[in-house]
Amino acid sequence: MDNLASPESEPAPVAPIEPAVCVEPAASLEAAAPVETIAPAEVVTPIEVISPPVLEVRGLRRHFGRVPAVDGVDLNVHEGEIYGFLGVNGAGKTTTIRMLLGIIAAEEGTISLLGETTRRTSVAQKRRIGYVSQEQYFYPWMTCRTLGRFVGAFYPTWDKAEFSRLLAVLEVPEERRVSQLSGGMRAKLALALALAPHPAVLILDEPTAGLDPLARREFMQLIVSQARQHRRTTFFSSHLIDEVERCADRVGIIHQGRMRFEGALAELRETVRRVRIAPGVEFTPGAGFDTWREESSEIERVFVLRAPMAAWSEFIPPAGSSVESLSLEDAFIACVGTRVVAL
Amino acid sequence: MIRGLLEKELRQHGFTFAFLGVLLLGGLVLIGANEMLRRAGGGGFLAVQVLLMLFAPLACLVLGQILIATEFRQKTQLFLEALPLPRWRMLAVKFALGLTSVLGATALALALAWWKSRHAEAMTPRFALVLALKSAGWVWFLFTLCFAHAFLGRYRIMFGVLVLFGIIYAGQSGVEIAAFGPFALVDQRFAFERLILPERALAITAGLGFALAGLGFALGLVRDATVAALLAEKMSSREKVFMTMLVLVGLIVGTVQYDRIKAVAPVQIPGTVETQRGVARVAASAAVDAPSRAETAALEAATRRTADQLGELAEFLRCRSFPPVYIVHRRDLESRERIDGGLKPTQGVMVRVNLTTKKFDDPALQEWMLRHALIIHTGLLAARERNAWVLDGFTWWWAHSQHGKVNALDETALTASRSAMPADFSERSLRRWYSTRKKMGEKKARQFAGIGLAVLTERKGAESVRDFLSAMLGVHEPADTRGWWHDMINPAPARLRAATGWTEADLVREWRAALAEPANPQP
Repeated sequence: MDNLASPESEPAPVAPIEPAVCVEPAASLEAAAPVETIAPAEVVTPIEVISPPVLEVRGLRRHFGRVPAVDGVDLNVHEGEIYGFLGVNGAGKTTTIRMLLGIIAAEEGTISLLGETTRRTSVAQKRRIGYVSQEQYFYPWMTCRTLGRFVGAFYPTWDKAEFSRLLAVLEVPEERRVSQLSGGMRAKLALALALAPHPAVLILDEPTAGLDPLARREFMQLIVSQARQHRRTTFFSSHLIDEVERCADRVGIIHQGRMRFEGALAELRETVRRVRIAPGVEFTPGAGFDTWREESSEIERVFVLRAPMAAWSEFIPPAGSSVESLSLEDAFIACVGTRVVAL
Repeated sequence: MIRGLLEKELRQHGFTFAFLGVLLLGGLVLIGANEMLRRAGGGGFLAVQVLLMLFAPLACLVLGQILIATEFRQKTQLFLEALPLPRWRMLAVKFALGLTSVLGATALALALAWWKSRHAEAMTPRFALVLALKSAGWVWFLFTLCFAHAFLGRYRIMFGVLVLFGIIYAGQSGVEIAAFGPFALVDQRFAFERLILPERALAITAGLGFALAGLGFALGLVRDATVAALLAEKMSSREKVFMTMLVLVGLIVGTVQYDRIKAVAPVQIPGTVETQRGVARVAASAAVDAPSRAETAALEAATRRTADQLGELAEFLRCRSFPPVYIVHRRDLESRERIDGGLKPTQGVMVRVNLTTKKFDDPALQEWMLRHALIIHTGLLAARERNAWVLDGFTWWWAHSQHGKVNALDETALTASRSAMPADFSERSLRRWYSTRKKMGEKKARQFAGIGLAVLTERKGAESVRDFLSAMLGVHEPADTRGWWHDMINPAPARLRAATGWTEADLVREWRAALAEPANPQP
């Protein structure tokens, strides 16, 4: 009991975390130039999707009562990539993540994590995952140091010095009680706890929820920087499009428990377009075109279609019609079928 | 991993553990040093039994709350679940820590008692085995009960109250709880039984404990602990109201069902003289080996007089049944001494008196009988404070109206009550009758209340008053929640209004008017 409370040895000299690498949301589809590049260029390069999947999910299902929270989700997350898991509130993001962590069991489907395929993630697999939850339910009476000591007992790869270093870099006082930390500090503490065992995979469930814009950006910068430096596979969920656009190499869009899209951001931008049809013009999307959204008014009919690049190159719009590229936000809204409701 | 969890629990709840430890040691010292317990025999093991009955339930309850309920209430189990730790192991550590703590405390208590008694008693291995198994069984039952109970989240207090109520009610209803499973392990033989192992009780306790532990683990693990997390959510106001109603209805229904299946054994008194008048039955017996002729005659006379009075009373109040009354003659009692036999309400009324003393006060006995029989008959409701003025008044009125045959409102009684009437006499005085009675004095208060009934008789007629008294004192009510419920939905003012058309305010107004000073007092 005493040694839990006993003062730790002096933390190792603090080595700064490389400043983050983020790409600002593209002003247009053509130009997505990085505006805040602090780290060396070779670090910032997004991971090419050539490595085998570290995390592969097939047909994951989970109901709560009669409500299907997750309804046949398929995912592929490759080694070293940052995967943004995008969805509106209640889309099934947290349930999917809780299944990935083995906190709740999947009713159907398989999870292949780090080469081991199971229905439910094992304790051995969990030891190689770092996790930051949406809300932090730490023991309020613990100090950051005692919390680190407690959590460290569960990870054979726990690096006490790294934990102290992370706390110092993140400016979280080690001797402060959790109850005395702000929301942002708690999130940082959670990140330090998740990173200290050098996990192969980092999973974050809306980690910036509740943080102010500055803290949110700072937090995501840290995550990206860590992922790039250590080539750590990072899977984070969010409903903030700009956050995902800035940080993720690939995205998965989940809606009503089903995956609506999975691929690179560029692919999303290139394959999803808006077609405006003039009134009185007959138009039916051809084979290979997936209609994500369709709206009609007296002025025009608007289709948001998804099709392979080859199909778009051969696509000839009807006379008086136009084809437009979409921002990620527009593509996301079209994907999840959200409609603007006038009050 | 386990060490980390244990350290966490001990550090988190260190103060509570220390408090329980101090309580245990303090209790041991105090009880062990108690001269009365030493005189009662059983050495220090009687002290251990007291500890097992008082300390162990408290410790188990507290441990269940801090180890399980607090974790789920603060949602910190979500933090533990995210760690590479099987959920069952998290629960198992908590279970093992709690159980070990209570068992350790029990072992310490037994060891201290053993050491204390080593020179006074023959300490055999068999005796040690019997004591250890019985203590461990009892603690096992208590802890598993509290462990499962802690998972009930927001329903745990309600469930605890129900269990407690059920045990108390069952005990009062004559169920031999002490003979059942875990309770049999800590019965009155605990400190004295040296040879016989209560194998059946131990087996039941073990099975019950396993079932409760299984229930606890099931609640904590089923559907990935979402059930336990859901139960730990706070109760909404609407749910609170609903659950309260559910508990009340459950208690009433349970009580009714229980009373239906359970019959109370009738009282058997040897050498009984019995008399029946209508629904009233009076039995008398002498608590002596060979009653004298005078004693037998006194018994017969007493039963006859009492039966006559109670029979007439039951008829007046239109009682369909009446509790049996038992008179036990004891030579050793003083003339004014009356001892309540302490029967259960369903068994009737028993009084122990000396019928053959020269100064034997029969009217006082008759009044005592009347009061107690009516209290028992009404399921104790007649003695409820807001109804008690009717009972007090009736005992006076019944005697002074010659059992309802004449007007009791004479000037002597009025004059006596006039001075006794409180200045602030109102409906509130009736509702708080015991306070009013305390201010006035018991005898005066009875006369005062009797005057109220007499006023009612004069103004509203004898039949109306009889209806009112019949509704208040003639209706048999069970002495449980059903009676309480009936009294709540149909209180005394409602019965007064139904029978006489008067509200309490009307009655008080006329009552005061009758007791007002005469306009032209005679010189």
